[in-house]
Amino acid sequence: MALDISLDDSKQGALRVALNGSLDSETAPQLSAALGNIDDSVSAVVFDMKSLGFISSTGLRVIFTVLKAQKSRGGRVAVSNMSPGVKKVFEIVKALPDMTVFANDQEMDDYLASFQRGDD
Amino acid sequence: MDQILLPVAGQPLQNASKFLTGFAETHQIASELTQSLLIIADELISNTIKYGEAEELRLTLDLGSEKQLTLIYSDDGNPFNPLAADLPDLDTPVEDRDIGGLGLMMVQSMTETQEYERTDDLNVLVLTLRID
Repeated sequence: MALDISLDDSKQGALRVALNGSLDSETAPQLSAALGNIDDSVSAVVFDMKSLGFISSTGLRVIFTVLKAQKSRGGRVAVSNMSPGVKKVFEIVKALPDMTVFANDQEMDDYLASFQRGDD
Repeated sequence: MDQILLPVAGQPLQNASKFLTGFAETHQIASELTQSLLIIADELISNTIKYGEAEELRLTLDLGSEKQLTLIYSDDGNPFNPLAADLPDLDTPVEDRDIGGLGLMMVQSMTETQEYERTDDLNVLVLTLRID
């Protein structure tokens, strides 16, 4: 099983993280490394899970680490396009109340549109 | 009954997921239940690899009836009863939680019954899953 990660920081203050594949105990370190030094200016991290087929607790931990870091400085974490299987995992650990949940691309895009485009 | 031996040195996670998806296809297991099996296997195997000092793992699946699937997981590592471990307090907001024990939580909530036994120097975990 494999994971593709694509990061989009073209909006100032927001980081969009698109996940494609499986976020399990083998691939979670990859995501952890990719998100290792999120810039202090980022106040919203949005995980696009449209192409995420699977998440295990190791994967959840990476997202929770980001959530903790964001909340500690007033930021937020959002998730979008969860499949029923992925959503179930978040529900089991009662994590959804602590995050913003977008049901689809439209909701996510509307939210990201509220951020200014970055200089680069 | 289907069984696979998984040497820890030989990509046990990947082989387990191939075994599980193959079993699910053969027996036309619904995708949600297959996901649960994959998650359970990931949790148990990664835990054993991390802490157990095991050399060999074994996964057994048994479709006892139309309504129940039994998964038996055993390893030859250090004695460890996962059912006796502390579970996280889920009523605390994520940002205040100690991020541990989630895997076990997942295994418990995806299964109907859980039994642990230490027998013949093996940790044996017997889990049953309901088939809807």
